Amino acid sequence: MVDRDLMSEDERKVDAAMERYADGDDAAFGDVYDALVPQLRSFLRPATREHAEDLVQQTFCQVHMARGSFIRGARVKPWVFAIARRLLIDRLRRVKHEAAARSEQPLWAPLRVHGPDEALSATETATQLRETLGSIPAGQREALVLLRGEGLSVREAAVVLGTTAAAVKLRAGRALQALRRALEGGRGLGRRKRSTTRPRSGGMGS
Amino acid sequence: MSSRSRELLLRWTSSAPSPTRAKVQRQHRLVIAAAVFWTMAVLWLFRGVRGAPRPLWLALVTSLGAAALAFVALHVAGRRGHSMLGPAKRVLVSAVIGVPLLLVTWKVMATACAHGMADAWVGRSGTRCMIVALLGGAGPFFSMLWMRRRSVLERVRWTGASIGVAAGAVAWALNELRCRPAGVLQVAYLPHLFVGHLLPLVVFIGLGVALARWLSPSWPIAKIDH
Repeated sequence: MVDRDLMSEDERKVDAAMERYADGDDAAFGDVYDALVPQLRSFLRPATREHAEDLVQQTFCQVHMARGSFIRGARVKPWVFAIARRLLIDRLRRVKHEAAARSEQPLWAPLRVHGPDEALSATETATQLRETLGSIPAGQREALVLLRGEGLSVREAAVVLGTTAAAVKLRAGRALQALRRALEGGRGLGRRKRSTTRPRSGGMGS
Repeated sequence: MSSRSRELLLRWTSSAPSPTRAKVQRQHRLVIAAAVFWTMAVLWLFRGVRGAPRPLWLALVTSLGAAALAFVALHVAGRRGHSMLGPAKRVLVSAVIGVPLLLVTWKVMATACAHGMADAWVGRSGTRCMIVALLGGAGPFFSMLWMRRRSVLERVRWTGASIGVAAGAVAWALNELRCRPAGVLQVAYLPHLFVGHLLPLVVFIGLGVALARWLSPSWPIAKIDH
């Protein structure tokens, strides 16, 4: 059961807005949308920048169609993220099949950034983090983004990912290690090597 | 793009109204009532509750045991939990495997305490019980499937199987109320039990898995241009 005392004010507000919306207050949909869109985007973009916006839209279409089945007192955030995750999986699967059919580039082609001798800047570090995040296994990335990026509890993330709390911790830990390796040496995942200054190790931040 | 997307989405939602919670709950109540009515009608059509020549205690023990297991199966199949994503996989698997095993075990063990009731009787094929079970379980099966349509995001096939188990368990409990051949005692003759009682349950599980796709939301729901 959810401990409502531990929820932030924003989470309480979005849950209340969803309750109103499920009860027929159409205007509350805008509140739900505004509260969750930035988090959904940051959840979806590391996996697919190209389709993120469309997936956000489709997620809210599903929320709209399923509002009548929203259980009173339930939390909206894990539910919406589960919908988004399912959509993302379906979309990536479809894109992958289409790419395979056309014998095109693999789905997770790295972004091109900066020359090797360029000094490390904050922007570059962020880019490298995004790249690494995009290249680690989806399960690990999702666990990390849900826990560190979106502030879901381990249990909520486990619900969204359809796995156990222990598995979520393990995946997030591995994702963090991958990010740390990428920041320390840029060698962790067989990616582009950095030839000059290396950043110090650090967490993902938020 | 953000405000434009928002505007388009809000315009789409107002043009494609969705049922509110109150409306969905009304629909569900109606569907549940229809399923109960259907099951009772099937029982009535096949001569209603018949105890004798079974001892009263045996009829009660087997019926109540089956009813309790059917209740558990219904609870697992219908429960969406606080996450609204349905029970954990281990719960679904336990129900799908455990409920049929327990139903058979309970029936055989309870009947073993009554003299002669598990003896062979070649004339009891179990066809009538199978028809009753398939008809009686159809109401709960399709009503549960309808109520959970397009709502399951995870473990869809296992959820379909658990719906099948729940419907099959209800059908089993229904048969417990009426299954006895006139003038003979062999109510737990095993071949009859497997064909007339267990086979319909397996059929419902298979149907649940086969129709599980109906439980998944269909994508994309709408095409909204950016």
